[in-house]
This record gives sequence, C-alpha cells and structure tokens, in this order.
Amino acid sequence: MSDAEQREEAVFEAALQLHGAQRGAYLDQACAGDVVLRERIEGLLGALERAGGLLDEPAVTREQASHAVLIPPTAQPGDHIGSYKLLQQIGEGGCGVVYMAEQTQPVRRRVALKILKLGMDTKQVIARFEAERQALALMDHPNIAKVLDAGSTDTGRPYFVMELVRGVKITEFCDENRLPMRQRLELFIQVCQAIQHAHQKGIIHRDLKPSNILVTVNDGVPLPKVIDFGIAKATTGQSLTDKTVFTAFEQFIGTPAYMSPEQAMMTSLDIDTRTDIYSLGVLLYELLTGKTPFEARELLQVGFDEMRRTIREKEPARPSTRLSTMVEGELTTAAKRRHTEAPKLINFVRGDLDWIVMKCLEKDRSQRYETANGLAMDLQRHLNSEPVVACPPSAAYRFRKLLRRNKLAFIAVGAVAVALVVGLAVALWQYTDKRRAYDRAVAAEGEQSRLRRQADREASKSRHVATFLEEMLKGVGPSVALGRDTKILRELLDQTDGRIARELMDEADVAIELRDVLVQVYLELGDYQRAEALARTNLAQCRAYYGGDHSAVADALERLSQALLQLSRLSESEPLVLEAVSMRRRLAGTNHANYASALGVLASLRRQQGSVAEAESLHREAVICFRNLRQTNSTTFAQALGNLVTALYEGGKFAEAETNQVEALTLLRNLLPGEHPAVGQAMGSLAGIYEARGNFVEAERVQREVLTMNRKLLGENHPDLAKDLNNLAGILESHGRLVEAEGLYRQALALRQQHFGTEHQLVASSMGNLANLLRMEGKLSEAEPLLRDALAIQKRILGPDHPAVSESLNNLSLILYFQQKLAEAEAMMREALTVQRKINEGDHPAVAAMLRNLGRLALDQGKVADAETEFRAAAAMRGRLVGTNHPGYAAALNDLAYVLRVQGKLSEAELQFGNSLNIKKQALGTGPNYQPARLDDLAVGYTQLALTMLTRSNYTDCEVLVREWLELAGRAMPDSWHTFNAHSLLGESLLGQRKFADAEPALQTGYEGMSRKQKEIPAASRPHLEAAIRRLVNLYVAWDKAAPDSGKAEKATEWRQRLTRPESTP
Amino acid sequence: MSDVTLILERAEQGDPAAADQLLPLVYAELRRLAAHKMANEAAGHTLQPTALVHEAWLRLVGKEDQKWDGRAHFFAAAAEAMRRILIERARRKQAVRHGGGQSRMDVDDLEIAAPVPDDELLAISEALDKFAARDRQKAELVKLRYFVGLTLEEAATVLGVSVPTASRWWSYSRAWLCREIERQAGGSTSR
Repeated sequence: MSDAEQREEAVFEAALQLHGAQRGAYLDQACAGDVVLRERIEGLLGALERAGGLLDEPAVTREQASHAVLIPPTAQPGDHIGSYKLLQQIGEGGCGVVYMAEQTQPVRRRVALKILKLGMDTKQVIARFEAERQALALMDHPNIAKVLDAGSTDTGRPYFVMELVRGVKITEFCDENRLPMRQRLELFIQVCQAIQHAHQKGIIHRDLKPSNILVTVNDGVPLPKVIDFGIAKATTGQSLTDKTVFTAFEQFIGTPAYMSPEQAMMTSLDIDTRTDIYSLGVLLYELLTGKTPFEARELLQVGFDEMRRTIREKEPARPSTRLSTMVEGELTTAAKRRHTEAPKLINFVRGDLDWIVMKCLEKDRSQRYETANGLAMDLQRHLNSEPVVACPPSAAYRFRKLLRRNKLAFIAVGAVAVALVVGLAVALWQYTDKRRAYDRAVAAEGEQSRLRRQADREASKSRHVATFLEEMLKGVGPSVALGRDTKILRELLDQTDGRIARELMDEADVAIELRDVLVQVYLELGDYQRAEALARTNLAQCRAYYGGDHSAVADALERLSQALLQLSRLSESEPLVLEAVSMRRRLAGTNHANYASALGVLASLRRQQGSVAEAESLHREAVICFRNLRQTNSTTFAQALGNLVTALYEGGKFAEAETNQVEALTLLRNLLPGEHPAVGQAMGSLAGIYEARGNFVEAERVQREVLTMNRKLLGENHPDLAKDLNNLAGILESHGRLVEAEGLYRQALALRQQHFGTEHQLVASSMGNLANLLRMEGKLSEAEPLLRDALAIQKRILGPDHPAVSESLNNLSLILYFQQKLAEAEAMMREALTVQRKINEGDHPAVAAMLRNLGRLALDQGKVADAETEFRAAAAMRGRLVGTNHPGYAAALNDLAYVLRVQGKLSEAELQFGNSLNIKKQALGTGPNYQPARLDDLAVGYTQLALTMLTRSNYTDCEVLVREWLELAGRAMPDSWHTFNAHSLLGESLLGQRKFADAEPALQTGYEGMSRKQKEIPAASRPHLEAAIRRLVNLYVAWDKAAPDSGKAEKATEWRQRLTRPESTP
Repeated sequence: MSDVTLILERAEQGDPAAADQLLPLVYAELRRLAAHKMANEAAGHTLQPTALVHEAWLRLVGKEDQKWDGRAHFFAAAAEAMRRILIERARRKQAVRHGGGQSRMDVDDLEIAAPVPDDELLAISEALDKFAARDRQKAELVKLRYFVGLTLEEAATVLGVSVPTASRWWSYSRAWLCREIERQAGGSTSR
C-alpha cells in the first residue's frame, strides 16, 4: 500500500467520525489543497451513504436449518463403521439409533453401537467424549454398562460403542413381571448404588430415564444396568451457540419428563450430581405410580417455554395423591402390575415413600438428597421399617420458598396477601405441630406404632394442604400483586373450593382440612358470608365423615361460630361454640391447647354479648391452660395473650393489658426476629394501650417505631405505610395535636394517591379520614367537599350499594348536621340507611347506628314522634344484635328514654332510663380500676334517671337512687363535677320531701363543687350548674314559706341574682 | 499429521507456495462435506457455510488447540473456497436463467444459503479482486465476513487484529467496494 493510500485511509476514517460542517472543515484542513485526495475521500463517503444494504449482511446465512437435526441417520445392517459391523437395529431414541454390532479387532465381541443424529458437531462431540474417556474407564460396576469407544462415521456422524446389554427398560420389566413394591424398591436401590459409583468417579449421567436403565436376568436374578454414561455430557455440554441450544432442545424432546429444573433452565451449564438425584426421583415416582410427575405428553402439548416453566416451578402431586386421583381402571391396573390391590398400594406409598420421592424432586437442589447413596439408604431404612430422613421440608423452609416465589405479591398485596399468608401460616403451623407429634411418636416407636401411623397420616395430610395452598397462591397474577384487584384472588379461592369438591372426593379428610383453611382465609379477608357458607358445608361433611366427637368436627364448629360471630348472629353462634367447647373437653380434657383455643372462641362470643367480664375470665383461663402445658413459646400462645389483652382493654384494665401485651410482644420478637409484620402488629396494639392509658408519649414512640419497622420492611414509599401513618395520626388526634395529625393524614393520602391514582378505594378512605379530622378541627366547609369527593369515588369504584358508600353517606350527613343543615343531613342519612339495608337485609350494627342517627336528626328538627320511632327501632335492633346486657343497648335505651321524657311520657322514660342504668352498672363490674369513660357514662345514667324521677315528683325513690350513686362516686370519682351534681340532685330530692335542713348542705356542696369544677363541665352540660342555683333559690323560697322571717327570703333573693347573671367565671 | 496441518505449518513459516496448496485441499473438502450433507438431506435443503467451514477445519486439522496463525491461513483458504463455490453457483444459475434452459440439479448444484442476489454477489466478488490487489488483509476480512459469515469479532480473531482495527478496516473496505461497484455499474459516479 502506498503512502498516498495510507493517507487516504487515515483521512477517510477521521472524516467518518465527523458530520456536516465539522466534516467539511476537517477536510478543508486535512486535504489542504490536495484536490485529488479531497475528491477520493468524498467519493468514498458518498458511496457509503448510497450503499444501502450492500455488504451489510454476509452473502451466507448462519442460522441453523431447523429441520436438519431431525433427519435420522442412514446406516444399514451390514455396513461397516470403523472396526464394527452393524448387525441389526435394536433401538431408536431422541438422539440416535442403536445397533447391535460386531467388533472384530482387537477382540471379537458383540457390542451396542449408537449413531447420533445429525445436528451434532461431530468433532466437538468426540473431543468432549475423549476428555471424559479416562474418567469413564475408571467406572467398574456390575450395574453400569461400559462405554468402550467413540468415533465418527464416514458421513461425519458421531457414534458410541458400548457394552451390549440385552435387557428391557426397568419400568417395562417391573410391570411385565408384576413386581411387587418391595422388589421394585430393591431394584431401584441397585440403580442408586450404580449412580453413586459413577458420581464417586466424577461422572454425572445427566440423562437418566427408563430407556437408559435396562434390566437383564442372570440365573433368575434381575440385574439393572445403567447405559449411556458420558454420552449426554458429550452431546449437550457445549458452549451455547444457537446450534447447541437447539441440540439440547432436541434431546429435551425425548425426555422432558425426567429433566431436572436446573436442566430446564437451559442457560445454566451448572449441572451436578443432584441433577441425577432428581431424575432418580422421577424414576422412583414412575416405579411407584406408573406415571411420571409431569406427563411427557402434557409437557409437550403446552409448548416449549411453558414446559420449562412447569418443570422449574410446578410442584408435582405426591405419589400417593397421584395414585388416589387416578381414574378407577388406571389405579386397578397400576395395583395389579404391582401385585397388590388399590387401597394397599396407596397406603404403601403414602408417608415415607411420598417424602422420599418429594425430597428427590425438590426444585431447590440443596434440598435434595446429597448423594444417591443417601437416597438408597433412606429407602433401605423404609424397607426395614426404620424412621427415614426424608420428611416434609420444614414449614419455615416452605414458607421462605413461597415468599421468594411470590415476593412481589407478598410485599404489595397488603391486607389480602397478609390474610392469605395468615391462612397459610396457620396451615403450616398446624402441620409443624403434627410433624412434631410424629417425631415424638417415632422416638417412642415400637409399642406406639399405631400412634405413629396416625401422626404420619396427619402430617402428610397437612402437607397436602400446604402444598395445595401454595399452588393456589402461585396463580396470583401481577394485577393482584399490585394490590389493585382482590377479585382474582377471590376467584382463585372460589376455584379452589371447586377443586376440592372435584379432586378430593375420595379423600374426605384432606378435603375437610383444606376447606377449613379456606374458611380461615375468607375470615381473614373479611368475606364472612362466604366463610359461613363454606364452614357450614364443612361442618356437615365433617359430621358425616367422623360421626361423633372428633377434633376436626370441633374445628369446623369453631370456624362456623367465628363466621357467625363476625356476622353478629350471636344466638346462632352460641350453641355451636358451646358444643365445640364441650367436645374439646371430652376429647382431650381441659388441659389441652385445643380446649384453650375453643375457650377463646367462647370468650369472643361472650364479649360480643356484652359480658366483658366473662370474656376476660375465659381468655384468662385459656392463657393459664397454655402456661400449665408449658406451651408458652409459640405464636399460638402469643395470640391467646393478645385475646386476653383485648378483653382487658375493653374492660378498661389497661395496666394489666399493658403487662400482657409486653409479654406477647417480647415473645413474638424472640420467635420472629428482625422486622416482621406480626411484631409490628403487636407493637401497634401496645401503642393503642398506651394511648388508652393516656400515655401519649409512649403511644407515639411505639407507633413511630412501627412506622420505622414497616418502612424498612416495605420501603419508604410503600402504600401500606399509609395505615401506620393513619394510626399515628389517630394517637396525635386523641392527644389533641390536630395540626400534626392533619399533616400525617395528608401524607397518607398523598402516598396512596401516588400509588393508586385518584380512583381507588384506599384513596377514598384516606380522604374520609382527613375529612373527619377537619371536622374535628371545625373546618366543616373544607371537610364537606373532601368527603363528597371521596363518596363520588367510592360510588364509581364500588358501585352504589357498598358498605363504604353507606359509611361515607353517614359521615357526610353528620358533617351537614354539625353545620346545622339538618334537612339535607337527614336525607343523606336516609340514603345511607337505604344502601345499608340493601347490603344487610336483617339486623346489622350499621343499620342500628343509622337508625339512631336518624332519631337524633329528627329530634333536633323537633320531630319528636319520628325520633321516638327511630330510637325505638334502633334500640330493639341493638338489643337483638348484642343482647340486652350490652352497654351499646344501654345507650340506645337512653336515647329512647330521653325522647320519651321530652314528650312527657315520663313513666316509660323512667322505666327505660332505669333499664339503661342497670346495664351500665353491671358493665362497670367491681374493682378499684374503673374506666373513666364508663364512670362518666354511668354518672350520666344516674343523672338522667334522677332528673326523670324528680320531674315525676318521685322524691323518695330519687333520694335512694342518688345516695347509691354518691356512695359509688365518693369512692371512684370524688372530685368529679358529676359527683357534685349528684349532691345537688340529692338536695332537690330532699327539698321535695321538705327536708329543708338536710337539703341545704347538699345543695350548697353541689353548687360549690360544680362552680369550682365548671371548667370541666362540657358546654352542653352547663345547664346543670344553672339548675343547681335554681334549686337553691327554690329551697329558700319554700323554706321562707314554711318558716317566714327566718332570713330565707333574703337568701332566695341573693341566689336569684346569681341566676339572672349566670356564672361569670370569678 | 495430516497434509493440511503440514501445509499450515509451512504457511506459518512464511512459505508462499503453501497457501496455494492449501486452497485446493480446503475447496475439495468443503465440496465433499457439502455433497455428503446434501445427499442425506431432503431436497431443497440449504447448507450453512459457517458450519461447513468449521466442520472442514475440524476434519482437516482436528485439534481445537491449533495456533491461531494456522487458523488464519486455513480460514483464508476456506473463505476463498467458499467464494468460488458461491460464484460458480451464481454463474451457473445466471446461465440457466439467461439461456432459458431447464434447471438441472446434481451433486454439484449445492444449495448454499445465500440471501443476496446473484448479480450483487458477482459484482462484489469482482470488486473484491481489485481490492485484494491493493490491500490483501482488508480483502481477507471482507471475504471472511461476507463469504463465510463470520462476525467481526471472529474475523478479527482469525486475522489476529483487534476488534476496533477490524471495525475501521471494515468501514473503509465497504466504502471502497461500494464506490467500485458504482463505477462498474456506470451509475452514480464519483465526482
């Protein structure tokens, strides 16, 4: 090349990097007047621009012609290949044709010669074989057929020469000879030993399948021989070009049923001995059931990618399940081929063998047997009736695995996923417990083999349940994972229900347990109707299957009563709960965890019925039961503690609630180290207790800790954090820090808007929270439009007949009420009621509450008769819902009595106030730690009743009543304005009886106390202070009439003056 | 040691006659291989030049660990052989078309997978001859890429140059060849 040419290239290359004016400038400078050079360069650049696709693509293509590899080789018996003469074709497989051949040199012998199909890179195949030849030569085992040689045919195809094995496929051999299970296992153990030998020499087979394991019979003794060692590696372990992937695919077509998950990945060249363990597991599966875990035909039908996904992700059915779900004829045939009967076959496989096979088939190879020998030994142990190593993998492991696989779903689904996880966790815990029972039974084997079998069955049943659920969860799609759609999830649950009915017809016990878990999930999801229906079915099935007392029947009873409790159908629930409790007692005595759990359900019932004290003592009994059993180191115990805490909380025993909740939290922290949702939840409860105790500092601190933990768990920007922000805002709100609370509510709202846009239920609910706070801040005009927006969103998204719509209508009505827009408020409340009635046809707490609100609205508009109607309906419903011992019923009676008194229906008013007060007195219970709110409520009850009696001139009754009240109040709340009011009321009742001298100190104590405490008196109750003055005026007027000129007239005037210029604060 | 290996060693030592001896051997082997494959394949099947050359290499030279220099000589020969095979085929097909005669297929009528039009192939081949006279190495690069279907990286390895160098060479070669083809066609000529 000349200097000029070199210069031309250099300038061309530089110019190519530049464009437009830059290129022009460069050429001006570089060519510097050299017109020829300039012209050549521009010619080249121009040609390149005009070239189009010219020389862009090579003249030849390099794609693999896809059909080339599927053409079988053409070799005829009689042909000579190397020093071998082909005698006859003895087999044909996915990757080649096998001939019986005669070797002439160096020794004359019969061999098997396998010619591979086209599509292999012959030289590479042979090179790879050569690389492994030495290792192959080291193998010397009676169950391994030796590979003797490799080479290429004249047409360039690789071939392998092997020891000739005149046998049949192991599966065919077993079936044709009707080999019983034990002999099948013994044969299989020999195969394991052969594989172990190869693995010890560093050889992995990679393509174990029945056609590579032939059985010959020597002197009547069957001898399995593993063939084709070294061939799979030579033909598949190639660097990944298109061609080799295709070659691998071709191999794949022959044997997808035996392919391990890591092989199915196909991008991974990282194959080790555990791949063979997997294939052995498939073989064992087939020997036991006659089927492979995944049917080759079905795998091929679904397409290549789906097939690979199935192998990598789908959990196969346990062998025993596979057998029991076969159609009748199939199962009978399978049993016949194993020289046994169907039920016996299933029983033989169920348990140990299930676990052994499933351990081989683990997707995660670290969970498989380490060695083939380990597998063989476990089978031998099983044959010797010794405990096996294989067991259902630990619950924790399965859970982790599930979490890993559904990571996105679990993190994002929020409540729904948590519900499912809880359902699953319950199943897994049960299952772990049963597993422990099994372990204990195994330890005490021998005399307790019956127990062992039972425990064994229980454990495998639970495993089935867990697997089933897991499978179900796998279907959770991306839309669910994004937390937007619970519909799919519900469909999934419904489908599962259908599947249970269809697939588990012959396994009633498994079906029952599975359905039980479903019920739990529905309960967690809050779909109580569905839970009830399903629980009812399950209870019926349970009774039919188990007859009388059985722990599963008790489970079903408890579940149904839980659903009914949630639906507030207390009277229906009660007999079921009682039956469950007594059944548990009969089954296992009172000193058993299950009995304790049943007590928990009964306690919940009592709580809802208003018997808080009884609920508390039942929960306490359950906790003591666990303590006696020393089962205090489990989440179940933590849950029992949590229940007790709830009861204590409701009973106002906050100090004790706090102690127990701290214990529960400590326990959970130990059991679930690090950040964990359950720990966060327990902390949240603790924050609530602190809040109730007025310890806002601690409440705020703990709630902030929850927020921090969940930020770690979920990331800074997760929509679920909105819930924690709301709780924190709630604490600040009740501490009166409304501005801060508003900020947090706004933060929560923004977070949800950012994730869900504007059209989302959670966004609407956040808007509702904020609106409520704005209402508290008195920003009614701001709250109203916000809530109207929320309502509109809810109507669009949830439809007009949804509980959330009804709730928003109710709240909006209240905001209008506070703005004194009474007519509009009433209309809106009626709409809310209509919606709620569409949702709940019969009695429902929300309906009762709205009736009550309507009564209040009517009352404020002066429609007293309407108000009475509504209050009466509300009270009746409340009574039916919660029972007539419930504080809620007392409040409803109070409303009714009030409207009666306003109308002058005094005797009924007195009666209802009296009823109401009696309930409140009972609810208060005894003991030194009364809940302030309860005491205030009680005080109001006494006051109302006393006032009614006074209006009716029922002075003596009133005196008795108020003295009773003062006795309690003197102990519980001596310095409350209510108590001083009571003194004043006592004074009036004495005045009515003309006991002026006794009345005077009472009235004066009352007035002075209230005057001193007037800052504590709510604005609405200020008239009580005025009434106290009026009573004093009345006293002196009456006294003056009775005893004129005793100076009482002056006193009357003095007090009357205070009345005309009502209490200005001194 | 096979003939080819000996020849390659001599070529490496700088014997100019060695390359000439190599070509017929490689050419014959490629044709033989192709014929074998065609005989065993369904009609209409096309051969993969890249695979064919790789296989020829394995058959003639064998060991994978052959020095790259030897491989450069071999591939140069293979590229040239493949070009001849393609050109022959294209010429024959043109003759058939222009002469209106009947399409006759025999073992020699190798169907090589070649997506470019025959006249383009011929034009490039002709231009490449001129280019080779001017710059042999760059012409080798084009042959390896165009007639064997090697990637830029593979071709760079065979030629023992860096990939950026091969890339620069490729731009220049392509520009040069395109301009040459324009000239031959008498179309858009350079200014």
